[in-house]
Amino acid sequence: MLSFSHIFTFGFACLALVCATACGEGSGSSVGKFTRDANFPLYFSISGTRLGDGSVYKIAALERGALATPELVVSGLDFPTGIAMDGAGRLYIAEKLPEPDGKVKVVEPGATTATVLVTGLHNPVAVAVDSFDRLYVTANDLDRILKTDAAGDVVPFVDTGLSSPRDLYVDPHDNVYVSEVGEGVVAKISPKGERTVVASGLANPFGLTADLAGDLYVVVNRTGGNDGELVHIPAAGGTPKTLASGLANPVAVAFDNAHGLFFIEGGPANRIVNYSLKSGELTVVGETPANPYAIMLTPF
Amino acid sequence: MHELRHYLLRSLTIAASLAVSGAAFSQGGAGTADQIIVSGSVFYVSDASQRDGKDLPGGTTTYLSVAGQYNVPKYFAGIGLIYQKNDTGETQSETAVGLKLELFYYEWPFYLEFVPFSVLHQEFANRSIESRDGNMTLFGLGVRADLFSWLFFDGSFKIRTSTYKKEDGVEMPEPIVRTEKMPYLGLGLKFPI
Repeated sequence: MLSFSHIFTFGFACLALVCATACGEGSGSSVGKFTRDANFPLYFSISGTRLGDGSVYKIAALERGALATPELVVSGLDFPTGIAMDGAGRLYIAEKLPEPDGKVKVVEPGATTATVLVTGLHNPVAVAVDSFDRLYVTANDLDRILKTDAAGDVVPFVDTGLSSPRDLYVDPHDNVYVSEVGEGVVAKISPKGERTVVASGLANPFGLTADLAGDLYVVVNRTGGNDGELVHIPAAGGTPKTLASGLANPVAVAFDNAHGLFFIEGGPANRIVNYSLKSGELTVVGETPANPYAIMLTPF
Repeated sequence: MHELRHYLLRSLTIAASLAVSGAAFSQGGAGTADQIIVSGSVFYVSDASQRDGKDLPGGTTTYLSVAGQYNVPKYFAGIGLIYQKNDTGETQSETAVGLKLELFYYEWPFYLEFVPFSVLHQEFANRSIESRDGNMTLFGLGVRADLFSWLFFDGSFKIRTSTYKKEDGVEMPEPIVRTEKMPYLGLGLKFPI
């Protein structure tokens, strides 16, 4: 016979089951979505013009429509280009110089110096990290993308078919998107290395990012003057749409969960501009030192 | 938000355990006869979110656990096998098999469990890696409460530590260590010998 204690036990167990299910955690490296309101701090690289002249800065927050004062993260870099961060907070920096061999350096969390991780990269201009903290880096002189394997060694990822890759974005499923200046396309590369063009006819596509739904955003540099564009590429396919035009030498773009897109306008403007995905409004939110190159918001 | 979820989860776990314990106490322990016990649990978490009208990458997670064991009250111990399988979305699954060791006192409903999992295998479909392998240990404190003479409710709090040593068959320079703390709520059948 069922007693009061039976009913009490079973009832509470059911309640707890429902609540625990609703509050349960995922397991480790599962594919999930970002839940933070904003992805600050924001990082950007300053390439400089010669060996030892580059640096990376960090901006803590966007307050009342303006970015906080940039803080120097690391300096003395050899023409830093792309920047990326892994799940442990390690900052990876691609360095173009000395030519022809470039390198990737890493800044450990809390550190103020960068140590060499990989060399011999033949003009790397972009780095990215996937959901397993595998590092991807372009070797532009060779039209290749390299990646790190389980042992931490650098191995080829894409050997053929690329034309002057400029920027990389890795989605939560480890698909790599690459903007290619040579052919004016954005291509998707599956984890197996299969390349598919997702947008074409882009005159000098430079920076590349995506929102939470997987829609891509590209800054199209065109001539390097005041004719740059911000282009939206729907995740579901369809014709790319220009969201904003007349941009001054746009070179890089990043997505923020709360504020939309931040992109860098290079010299002579040297500034960071916010584009609201809700209102379509463009707002200059801060200035950078000369020669800004890449921009990144923390991905976790 | 994350902290709030942790707080809620811990509070509910403790509350559930206390409630179940209290009810179970009124029913006594496992008795003195040897028993074969089979228990299991399935949790299903569905995640379908939108932002600005757009679907966000979410997915579902299913946690399955099945255990079979032989309990000997006069030695205050049980031994058995446990199988766990977690499926996350369409691209990730994890399988673990281990030897379950249990300590209990036959007049009480509580038990302590320790499981060294010798098999821990993760598989990924269409991702940048295909598999991870390692091992896992699990500690748990639980209670069993009779619902009927043959059916019981099984509630516990478990801590499991997974150590992944290989990716795609290659030894990693640094193993990945993951610790999870979780409630367990399930049902079981018992067969006195």
